[in-house]
Amino acid sequence: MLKKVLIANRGEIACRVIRTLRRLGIGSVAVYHHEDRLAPHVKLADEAVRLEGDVPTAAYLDQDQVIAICKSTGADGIHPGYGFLSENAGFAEKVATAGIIFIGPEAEVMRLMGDKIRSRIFAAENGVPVAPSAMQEGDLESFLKKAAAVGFPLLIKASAGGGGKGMKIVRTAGELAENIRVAASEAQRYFGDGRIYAERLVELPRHIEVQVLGDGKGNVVHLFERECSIQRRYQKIVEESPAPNLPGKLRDEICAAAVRLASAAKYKNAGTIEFILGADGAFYFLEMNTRLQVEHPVTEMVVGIDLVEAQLRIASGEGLPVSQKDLKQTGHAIECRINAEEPEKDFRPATGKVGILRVPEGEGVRFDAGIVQGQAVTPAFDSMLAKLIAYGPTRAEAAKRMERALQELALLGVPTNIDYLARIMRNKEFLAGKLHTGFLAQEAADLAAPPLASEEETAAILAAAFSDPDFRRIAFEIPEPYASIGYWRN
Amino acid sequence: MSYQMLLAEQDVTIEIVERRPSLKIKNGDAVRTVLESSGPDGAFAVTVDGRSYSGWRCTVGDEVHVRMGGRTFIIGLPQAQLRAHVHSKGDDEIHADMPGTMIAIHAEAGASVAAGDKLVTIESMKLQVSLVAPRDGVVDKVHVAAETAFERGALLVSLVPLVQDTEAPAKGEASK
Amino acid sequence: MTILKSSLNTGDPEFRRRYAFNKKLAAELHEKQKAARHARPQRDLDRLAKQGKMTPRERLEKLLDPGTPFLEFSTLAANRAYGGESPGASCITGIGIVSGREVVIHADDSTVKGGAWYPLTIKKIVRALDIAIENQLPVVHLCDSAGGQLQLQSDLFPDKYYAGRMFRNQCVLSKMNVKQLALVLGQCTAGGAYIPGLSDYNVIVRGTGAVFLGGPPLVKAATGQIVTSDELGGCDLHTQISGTCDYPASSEDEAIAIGRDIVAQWERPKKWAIQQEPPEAPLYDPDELYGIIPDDIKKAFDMREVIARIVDGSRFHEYQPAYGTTLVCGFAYIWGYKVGILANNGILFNDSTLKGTHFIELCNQNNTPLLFLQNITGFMIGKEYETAGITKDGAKMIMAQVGSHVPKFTVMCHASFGAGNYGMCGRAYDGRFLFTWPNHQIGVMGGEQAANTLAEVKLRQLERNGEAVTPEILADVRAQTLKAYETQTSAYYSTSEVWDDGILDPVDTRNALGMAISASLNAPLGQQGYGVFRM
Repeated sequence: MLKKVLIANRGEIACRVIRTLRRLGIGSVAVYHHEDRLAPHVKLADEAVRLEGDVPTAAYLDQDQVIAICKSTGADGIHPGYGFLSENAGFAEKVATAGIIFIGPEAEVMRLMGDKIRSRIFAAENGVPVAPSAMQEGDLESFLKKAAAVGFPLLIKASAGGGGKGMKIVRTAGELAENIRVAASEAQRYFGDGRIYAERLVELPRHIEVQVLGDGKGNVVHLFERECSIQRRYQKIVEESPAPNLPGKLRDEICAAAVRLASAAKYKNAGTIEFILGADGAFYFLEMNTRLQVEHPVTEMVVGIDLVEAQLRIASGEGLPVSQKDLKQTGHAIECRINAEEPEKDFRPATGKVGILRVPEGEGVRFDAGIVQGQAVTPAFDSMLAKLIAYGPTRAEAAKRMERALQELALLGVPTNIDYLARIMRNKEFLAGKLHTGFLAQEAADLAAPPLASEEETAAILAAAFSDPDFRRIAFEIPEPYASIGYWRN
Repeated sequence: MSYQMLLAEQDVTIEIVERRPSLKIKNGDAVRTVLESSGPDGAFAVTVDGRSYSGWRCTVGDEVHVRMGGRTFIIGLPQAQLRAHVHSKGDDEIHADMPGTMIAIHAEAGASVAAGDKLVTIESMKLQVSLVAPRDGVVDKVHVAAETAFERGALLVSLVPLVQDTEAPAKGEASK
Repeated sequence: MTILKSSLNTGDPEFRRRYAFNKKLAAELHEKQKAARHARPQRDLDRLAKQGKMTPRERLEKLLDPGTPFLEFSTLAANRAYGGESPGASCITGIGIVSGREVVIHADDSTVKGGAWYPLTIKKIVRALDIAIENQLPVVHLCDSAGGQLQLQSDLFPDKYYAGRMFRNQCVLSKMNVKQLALVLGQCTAGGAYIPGLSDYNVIVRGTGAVFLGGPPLVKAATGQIVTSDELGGCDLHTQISGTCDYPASSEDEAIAIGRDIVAQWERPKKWAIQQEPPEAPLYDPDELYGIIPDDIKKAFDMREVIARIVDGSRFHEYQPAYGTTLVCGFAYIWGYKVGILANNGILFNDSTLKGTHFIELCNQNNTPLLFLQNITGFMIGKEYETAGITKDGAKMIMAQVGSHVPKFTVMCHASFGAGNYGMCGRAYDGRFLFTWPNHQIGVMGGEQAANTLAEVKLRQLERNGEAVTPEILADVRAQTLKAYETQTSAYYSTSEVWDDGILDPVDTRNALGMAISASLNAPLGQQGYGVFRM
């Protein structure tokens, strides 16, 4: 087993990894940029070393510095978290060369799955359904005909891309040429690789993903599926497991396809295979993320496995910690991402300070925070502040617990989407499990903040006024007899 | 004297009408009987005409974030309300208050600046000082070139004046 | 303390007649006050609005703490002077609460001839500053005046208590550690520049505020220099370069907000510990006062009925109830503050004068403030009384009253004629506050008495000179005297000349006194001791 692990990350995931390291008695090393000096992961870890560099995010991406700190602190493993260097094959190689264990898959598999075109081909070769598509194999001219053959509507995507960047929806043949041209130039600009491909667009699909663990020798288990359809700007904000209203047979098919893919790649450590599921029951491979995902807690709560612990054991050479026959889903878990943003202003990111943080404590409630009271929320890092997870014996119970937890959660000093998330939990379509990736746009009217009752507005205004010492003085510190005489003119 | 605040960029006024036997406050057209109490960590309870509302509040600068009844309000205190309505010439021009030399220009004409951003660095009496933008805005012109000396009172930087409209919502944003 | 028993019968026709009469007087008072406070030619209001200025009443309401009272002095000053050109004598003075502190407020009224100072304006402002000195109350000046009325300069410039006295009072206040704040909301020219100049703190509004010893017209006339108000003495010059003004403000709203914040910096005053109880409203309805006060200056009424409708719980501890019954003396509480009351129930005789003197000493012994409720037409005169020493006795009462170290308050409820005014703490006797009622009359003697006396004098003169005495001549003397006295003894004339601090609607007396007593506690008690009592 690893003795000491450096977490090459920050925020809530760094805290979450440290928690498991603590529990297992493994030493922890945190790295942090000066902007993050008050962040909780710095204090939680056994050791903390400062990263040099002007730009905060660049510091966390400084591979040589991270490896140097790993060496100087004597850590024998690096956990990359998610984002940052977690899917950087070059980094994984450097780490291995330095004689340090990279807690994740091999570099080669990262490269394969990081390449949208190669991974699709690999999936198709291994019996994993892929959406009708066309690859760009020559110039844009020849690609045009092949793309049109895919059928409309279709999506033009960047081969080296992700996260929705550079994607174009094309509904008619007339728009195709121009969109191809623009998508190629954007791909070059954003990702440094101008290759694109066209894929049939499944309208209003559900985003279903499968968590897998592999031992690197071809043995793979799946820990069932997650539903992540509730997204805005291609970013998930509510995830859950199991996926609601999913027929058992279909679930088994999807999970089996995921295992097939991971097994064929001889995948090592934790990973997630993402699919899109059409209303007709047809599902297609989207991509594989060769790392731990933000929403992994919902799997953990429903399956009862600590995924970070599993990662550590696999990385230590202990093989898979569990067998497929021992894995089953019990109950239901929902996760809400708490972001510093203003939903009513098109989810514009907000900055401020965490003045008050009051964590909800209910049965089945888990709060994975990356912030502490008093910490500044700056544009230096992304806007996710914490994750709130609720577990219940049924989906309805989990949603109710989540709603209550959101009411009790007080995170004040920076605008957040907490109230917006609570409205999702009350939404009829959500409670009926009728989800798809266009859900938030479809339900926008219902999810908008309802108008205020005048007395409620007065109460809020008064609450603010009473916090002002000047107002309190004019309310309470007027001497007698003036206070008793009140408003009077002779 | 009425106490003026800002809620969702609208001016809100509250007036204390009576203190004995109980505190009565007017907001809009209604006069309401008010009781209040506070707890640790920003917890509060306000009773309005007998109905109790509780939650948490937290002051950030001159705004108070209030979480109550499953909603979060951001309410500007009088300081914020005044800031939103006051616009003075002193906010458009930056003058030198001693003679000196221009050392460095950090924001050229046309640059967008936020309140507090460095505009220029000047040297005076062997001391270098950076002058900052008094408000958010756009630099109109830098009047003194680098390595050039200036007299006391010299105009160093001017910002593009804001259009002053007392009927526009606060913070100069266009109304929806 | 026992609750006063009222023998008032509100069904009585006498009561009803008096009620109607006094209710009408009160209504008239409110009408006149409303006009003096608010009625202004529209063009003056428009001019102010165009300059971006608020009216002084608007400024006042923004300055004062919400839901608090304001006791205004001499609202009707100058109502019988200058052809009515200067309502309120072009200024507002009074006591109010700013940021939780009792302050004296002086606001120039620029809606009246640009706020120019008339002689009575000066008198009213000096009086307000005297109140500040005597009671050690901080002062807030809202300055916006065109300066002194040049045509009337001989009545407002040269003498001891004219314009210079304002600035002298400011210095005395400062020396006493009593704070002053000036908000320069308009022009402060010539002497007027000293108001912010001598204030401990001042705020100036950019654009409309200006402070200069000589304004642009004067400067041009004197040196030929042409310069604008702003260049000569505006906000930026005085706050950035000359250092004459402390805080710049871009608007009147901002200036007032800054002013309130400055007052909030001042420490809370230490008041002397007057005997106090929780306050209690009077048992009897103060509205009944209208039916108690007579509709004729010569008619009497029982002051106990008045006391019962002013004091807490209508409770009164009467001193020497059986002796000197034309002067009611006793202890009571008003708004929780202990006071010693002397109230006239007839003319002053030897016994009532001695009783009053003794009672004043008792109040000084107990550190109890004195309240004089006047309805006095004079001392008893005649051979019997002079032999008994009424002159000596009156002298003793005046000596005791003047030697008092406790604060004194006077309300002239009806008549205030002759020497009785002196003993009962008239204007000359440094009472902290002096208020009157609309039915009140003041003079060396009543009009009828004066008419009779002067007719008698004329008769003797004619006889001495051997001239014919006709009824017409005597009637003429009588009529002229009556007419003059009617004008000059009226409460409105008195308040016009600032011989008092304002006419009160009788039902407002309790609140006014509560605030007055509270304000007076800011000054420590003086040294005990009297002069020589002629025994």
